[in-house]
Amino acid sequence: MKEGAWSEAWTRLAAGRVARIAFLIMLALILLALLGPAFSPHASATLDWQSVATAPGGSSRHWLGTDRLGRDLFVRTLEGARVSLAVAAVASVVSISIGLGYGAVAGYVGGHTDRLMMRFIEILSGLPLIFFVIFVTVLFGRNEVLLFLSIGAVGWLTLARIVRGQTLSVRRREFIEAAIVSGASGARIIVRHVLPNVASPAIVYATLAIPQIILLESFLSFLGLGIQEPQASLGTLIAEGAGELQSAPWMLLVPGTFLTLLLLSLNLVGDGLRDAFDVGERG
Amino acid sequence: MALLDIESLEIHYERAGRRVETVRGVSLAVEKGECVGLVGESGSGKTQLFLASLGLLPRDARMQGSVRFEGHELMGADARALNRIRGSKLTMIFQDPLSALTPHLRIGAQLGEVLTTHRGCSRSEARAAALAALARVQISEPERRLRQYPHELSGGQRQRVLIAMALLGDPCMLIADEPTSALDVTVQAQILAFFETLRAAQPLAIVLISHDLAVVARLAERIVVMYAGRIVESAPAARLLARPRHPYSELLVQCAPKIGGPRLERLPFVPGRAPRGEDSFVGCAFAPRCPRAAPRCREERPLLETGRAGAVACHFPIDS
Amino acid sequence: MNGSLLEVRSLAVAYDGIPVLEDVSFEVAVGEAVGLVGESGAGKSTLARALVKLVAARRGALIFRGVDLEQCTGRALRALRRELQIIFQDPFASLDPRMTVGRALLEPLEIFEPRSSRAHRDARIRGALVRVGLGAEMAGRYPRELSGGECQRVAIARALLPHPRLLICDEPVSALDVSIQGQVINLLADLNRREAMALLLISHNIALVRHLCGRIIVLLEGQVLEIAPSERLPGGARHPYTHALVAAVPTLESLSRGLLPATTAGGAGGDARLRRGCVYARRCPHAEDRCRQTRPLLETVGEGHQVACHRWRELSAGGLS
Repeated sequence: MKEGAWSEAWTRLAAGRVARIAFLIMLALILLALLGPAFSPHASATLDWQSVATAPGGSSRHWLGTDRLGRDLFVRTLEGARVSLAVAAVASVVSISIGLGYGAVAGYVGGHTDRLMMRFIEILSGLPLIFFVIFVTVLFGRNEVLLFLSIGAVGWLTLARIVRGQTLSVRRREFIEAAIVSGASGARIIVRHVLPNVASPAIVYATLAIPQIILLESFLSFLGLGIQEPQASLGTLIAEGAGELQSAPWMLLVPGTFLTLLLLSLNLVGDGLRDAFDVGERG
Repeated sequence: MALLDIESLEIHYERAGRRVETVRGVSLAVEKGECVGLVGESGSGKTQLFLASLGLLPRDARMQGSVRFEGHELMGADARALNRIRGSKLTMIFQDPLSALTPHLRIGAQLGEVLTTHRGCSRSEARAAALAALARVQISEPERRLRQYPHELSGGQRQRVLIAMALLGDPCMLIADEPTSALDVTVQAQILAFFETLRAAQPLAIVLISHDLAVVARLAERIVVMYAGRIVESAPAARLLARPRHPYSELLVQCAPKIGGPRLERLPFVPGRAPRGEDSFVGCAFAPRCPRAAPRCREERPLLETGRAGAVACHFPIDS
Repeated sequence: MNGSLLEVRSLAVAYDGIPVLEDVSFEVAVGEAVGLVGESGAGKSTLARALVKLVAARRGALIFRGVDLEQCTGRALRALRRELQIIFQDPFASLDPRMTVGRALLEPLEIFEPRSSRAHRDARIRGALVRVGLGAEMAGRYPRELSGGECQRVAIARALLPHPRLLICDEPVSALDVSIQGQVINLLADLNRREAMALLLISHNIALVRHLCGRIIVLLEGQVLEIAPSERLPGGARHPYTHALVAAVPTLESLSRGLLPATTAGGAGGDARLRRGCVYARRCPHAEDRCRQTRPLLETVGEGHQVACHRWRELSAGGLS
């Protein structure tokens, strides 16, 4: 039913050249992370003692070189990217669902409920976000799923605020009053009328938040709180590479380039989406 | 030489691969001190025509033709030249007075800004001039209004402030685009009465744009009717109101609100819907809605033909 | 007319302690068309929203078909809402931009006829579109693809689906071009006449309301100043404010008359909490001391004709200018 509006936004997104290229790059990077390792003869955990810390180059059997333990960097970077993307996906799904629901309910119901719900958000955002994640990690031990969830659980605060603000302005529109007069219940109005009309900023926010989540995960892993060896994420790889900057710069450059490209393309897609939806709102 | 001379103006857009034509060839001259009423439905191109004259169209607008103000060509003029003219000699006010004012600035500051930036007035001079300008538009308690924010004023007061702002530059031409459509009839009557006194006091050319003939009828010396991006009739106001020659003008005359006379069972209206910029026409654009349309009207586009008492674009103009 | 459909008794509404409506009382009979006229700030839209309980009343009773809406909640309220529908001024804002016309029309059916079949609903939607003079192919369109007049018809079609007995129209045509206002007004008139659906038509333009409605209520700053049968208008109005409203309408008939002096017309406002006396006294050319001190009450001046003015007798004898 909503295809019209979405497909229109999609057409506009595709019309922006930068966003389109960024989208293709993003897609390529994700596909590469998912399928790439299958085309390499090496496994990520295999230690190749014949070629320890070899630089990338034609002569080597390892396309993008190896690390101190002789593990193939190409495969390791892609598998690390997989982990990072999984964190981002789970965390953003968690934060979008909480943020959308929480913000829409607070904004629509209003009054004391709204004040109480927003006060709660203020208290939570008073806590340093990283502190919270570190706290959870220390408390429950290092656990990937927990890490995903806890990043997502702190990420929804901003979104809930955005959605609440949008809901407040949507709620004043006459089509909401028309729905109330048609006998629609509060829940129905939130699901049918409020959420579809606040979804576009949420999606834009999500595309712009994914890079932040990836960075946060990388940062936590860099601190040693995230993914554990032999598992790798882009963050742990960069942390490792940073230590070998003098002797083996490619260990930083390979995962670093991948991360940079991924973040850049995600940001550009997010910007493009925002423009696309912006016009959609006006038209 | 006319004050404002629009010649064969065409405006179109390319939107989502479609050609959207808003003005399809309009020539219109406004003389010094003349009051022209421009009437048409939404989408008839009446606003676009003057936005184009002031260089205020969106960037993707494609324009052809010429717009001369006091003999200077405005089409393709650079921003500085345009800025010198608009806001001083040629000025425009819009339908929605709230969105035309900056919400977080006091009225006094907004009026003063025009004076300090454009005229190099000192702050105290600007304040005095702003106060005089508010007094001139007959706003109540002008001193207090200077200190107020736009949202604290009523719709009518906001429109007066905008008119005051427009008059600051001492213009010789004011374009008023549906200046009263967002206002109550009572406030509308006041604003129109004010325009009347304004014109009595100084030779100011006014273009009054509206969808309602009755709104422009009082003030306008000449009425121009637009339909689907073209002028369909242009005539002295009294003649057009008494004896419209284009069937569309006739319908508009009938649609004007009536307060006296017996109660009507049915209100007159123009059937169908107003055409949009995407629509293209072989014959007369009004033919699909015209009660007098003949086969010829659907095949051949009538041209605007100038006669003794005005111009009309119709194969079968109504004769008196 | 046969019996009262809606009775508003001493309705008062306030926002943040500031009174918007004070002691408003009137009736709408079954199948009647009533006009409500006043400037912005008069409380017209608040009244419309109070009648469908979109805003809460502070005092008073709303008796709809013998039931007090103020005492109604939950399911009982929802059942009454079917019969009491409203359309709004801004035709684009009153339709959800992300829903097709068909989808928007489906909503009341899903709520009020949850058990009906799909085929039945489709037929009802098509029927509703035809009823307001739109083609069935409109169902697939989005509001932004429609003109203002078409949007307003869709809003009417949606309001008609639950078979209301009273349709409240809050400035239904003031966002539309004059040239097509007649289309919508005539549609409302037809529905009123043919289907005995009562109308409460709210507008700032008395000229529009006069043709469609049998009775006209004049509201200023939350108070009823006059209730008059339409055939008495324009000449037989008794309140000076009603005369000012009549005179302000731009018409082609009035070209020979002078425009109004600014004092009699327009410019509602002022602090509602401070006022005593007649709400129109400040702007009234006929105001005397007693007008500023004591508030006039509505008194009957003729068959179905009430006015709240201290001086109506003298003024009607002397003729209002």
